[in-house]
Amino acid sequence: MGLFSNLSFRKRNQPELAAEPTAEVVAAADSAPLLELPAPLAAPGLGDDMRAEAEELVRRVVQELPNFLTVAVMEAASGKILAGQWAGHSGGAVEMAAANAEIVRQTRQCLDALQLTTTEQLADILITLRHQLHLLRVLPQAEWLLYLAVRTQDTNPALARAVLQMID
Amino acid sequence: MAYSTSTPAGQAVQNILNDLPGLMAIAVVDISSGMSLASHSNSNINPDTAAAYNTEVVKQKQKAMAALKLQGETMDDILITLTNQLHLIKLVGEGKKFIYLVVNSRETNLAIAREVLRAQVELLK
Repeated sequence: MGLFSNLSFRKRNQPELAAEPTAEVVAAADSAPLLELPAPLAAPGLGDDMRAEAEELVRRVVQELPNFLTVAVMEAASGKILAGQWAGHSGGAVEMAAANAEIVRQTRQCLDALQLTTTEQLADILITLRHQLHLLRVLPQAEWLLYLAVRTQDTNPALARAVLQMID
Repeated sequence: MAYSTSTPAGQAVQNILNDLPGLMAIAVVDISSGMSLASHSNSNINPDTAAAYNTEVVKQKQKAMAALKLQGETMDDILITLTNQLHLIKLVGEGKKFIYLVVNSRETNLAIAREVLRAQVELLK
């Protein structure tokens, strides 16, 4: 809370600074349900305390970036979703998580091949699309990944990264 | 130095080197082969090795976008932030090529790196 929630609040209430989100987007973000993970989605053998911790991380990101599209915490090794919220439908969520975990794995492989791993550690991967930002952050605890998708009209990369760094 | 300025890729590498003389590595990469069309390194980073690996990262993200059925979306760039380095992959030529740039994050920020690469987009169409 605090600094960054103020930023995103101010931005949303200053139409001259950024295009106002469409009514549809606002409605979708406001009604975003905490996705109930069906059994095949949830990582097996995950304790209640770890799941609660993952859900808490998701909740804190959502609080700072209320205009999010997707926030998810997943296992880096398997790509299994531990907790997540989707603004709108969650179709393709499992494939998305697995694909993003694979991107992190391949990036690490690249750093290995370049022999950079003695001095450099992967902090995050930012993917800029025409209308969306996708940010993958490596969390220190238990090799988790935090995945955030936002619209470029709502959030800039510096703000998105600042929020994810803050909740570590 | 693995480029000739008589090709668009080589000219782009030269232009980027002129803008960012302190860059660590630079390459223009063909996605279908994973090989660099032109590259240069001012560090121990081998840009041709990076080209091959990063091609797979780009392809993987394209797969992820297909899984999400994102319509009307194209990938502009991928930024990999390390402890002291930024690795920027900028897609050009309708997603058939990318420019790969490695800089020291204390000397160059994302905004500067993007601006320098954006100037070469036309050349690499």
